[in-house]
Amino acid sequence: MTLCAEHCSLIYTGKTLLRDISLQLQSGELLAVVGPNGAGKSSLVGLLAGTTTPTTGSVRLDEDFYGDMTLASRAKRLAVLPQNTSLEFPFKVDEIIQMGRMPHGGSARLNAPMRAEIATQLGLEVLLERVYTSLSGGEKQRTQIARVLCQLWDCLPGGYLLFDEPTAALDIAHQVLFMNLLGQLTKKGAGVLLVMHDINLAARYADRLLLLKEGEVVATGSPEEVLTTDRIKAAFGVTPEIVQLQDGSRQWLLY
Amino acid sequence: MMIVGLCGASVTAMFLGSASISMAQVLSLFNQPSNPDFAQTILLQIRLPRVLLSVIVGAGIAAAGAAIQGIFRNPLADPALIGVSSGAALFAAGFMVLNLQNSTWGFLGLAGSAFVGGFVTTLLVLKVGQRSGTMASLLLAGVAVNAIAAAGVGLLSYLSSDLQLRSVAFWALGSFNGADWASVRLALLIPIVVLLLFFDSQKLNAVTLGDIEATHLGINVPRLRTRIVLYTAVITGTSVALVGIIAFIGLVVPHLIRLTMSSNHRTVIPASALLGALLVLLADTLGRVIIAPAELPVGILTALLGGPFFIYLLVSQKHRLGL
Repeated sequence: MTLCAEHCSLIYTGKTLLRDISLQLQSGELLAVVGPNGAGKSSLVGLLAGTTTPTTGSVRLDEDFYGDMTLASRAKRLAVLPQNTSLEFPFKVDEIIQMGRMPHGGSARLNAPMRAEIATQLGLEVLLERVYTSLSGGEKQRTQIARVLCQLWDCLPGGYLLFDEPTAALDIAHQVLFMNLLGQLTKKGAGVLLVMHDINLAARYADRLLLLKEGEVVATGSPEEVLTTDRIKAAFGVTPEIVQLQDGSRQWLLY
Repeated sequence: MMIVGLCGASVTAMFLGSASISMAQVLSLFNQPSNPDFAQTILLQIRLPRVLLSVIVGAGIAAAGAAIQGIFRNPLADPALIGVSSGAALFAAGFMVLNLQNSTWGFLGLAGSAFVGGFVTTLLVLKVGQRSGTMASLLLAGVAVNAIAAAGVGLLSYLSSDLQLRSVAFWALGSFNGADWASVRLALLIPIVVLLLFFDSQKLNAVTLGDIEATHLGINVPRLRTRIVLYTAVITGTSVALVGIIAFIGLVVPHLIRLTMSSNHRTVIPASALLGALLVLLADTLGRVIIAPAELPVGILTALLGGPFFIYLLVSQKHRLGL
């Protein structure tokens, strides 16, 4: 059970955005993609999500090529939160979360318990009747996260979730809430890929990291394997200090 | 509530007009329809088709406005954006000014050429807009084609005689003056297409999130976009062809519904249709009463009342509108 890219390159108007990328997102795994601005992280999400077609190579979802699947059947197995979702219409938060159920049909009333459960998990329960356009950035982001989770909430295992910078607008309490929730979902068999800028948050919660630079995979593996001083310096141009946590479980980057 | 309001307004509109007909006479229609007199002729042949036509057209343009705002993800979009109104106006003006009624195209008539014009222009906008495939390019294509069509109307006006100029200008204002049973029959296309729009309301909800987001919810966005634009073109094209341009209903009515009821298109589309029907009926009834026995074109009234109201909305409700 994998979402799998094989030797994918992406060339757009003469510029190589991704070069010979191969990666496998396993069911039950939390994979975090890190890398500097312009490294191709969002292009990679677009590729895995099927919204951009690779120039060379192929992407498969549990052995099914994207070209052979209908959008509707793909939407029952793959949910994606792109980086900037803007919504100009005054929908209620609850209505937006319900939109995640579109691929499955079913009435809004029938799905109400599911929406309530997800809202509680993300601290959205008091906002369900609020109008989306009146929310703060972090509240909007949590609403969109809830919608994406709602799409596959009852489709685990076998579902894949891709998030492009989901934690950027969240305060630390909601970052922790969200990352713990993803942990629970991977235990239920979800394959989760996150693009993140907070390397420490990624290292703390992800099973595996992937470091991307200039459209190429620099390293992939456990956080300790990937996050060496040299690699961070080469990728970001910043020399970090690596601190071992007191319980010895993980390292922490100071930069 | 709106349904009751619409029924009440329809009956009221039946007995208002430059020939005075009592409420009793209106109601007597239902009792003794086999007694044709002057009042009954006015009611059955003039006022009833006119009331029906304004209700159908009002419902259609308001629902079309709701759908086009949804598909363009822009609460300020208007069916005119896809070029259908200006295209219809161009072909109608061409028909009048170039005296085409005696040519091979004469069979189309004024209404037919307006419909064809609206449809051809919309297809052009779709074709140009689809080349790069984004919503913005479709909008810009609409702006460009609208400008060209407006220039065309201007050129035709310049070439026309005074009499022709007057009919071109008058046609653009929108009026239910010519309503008869034949136009009501043609207009029956509109409620069918409104129903089709309603079937796409869930997908319209998803598209407001964004093209990519909707794709991930399993929707073929380009196909949906083409479909909605064509539906809108049929509704707007038919109504422009039959009664001319009725401003502001398609823009304002969906807003009113979103402000007072919901943004969910399952509500917005049917509720806009009802409110649009009610408002156009009221505007038309007002237009034929206030300066009776003359008539004020309904398009003037809707713009005159809708414009200030829309400004009020913008100023007072900008947060709820998400602006």
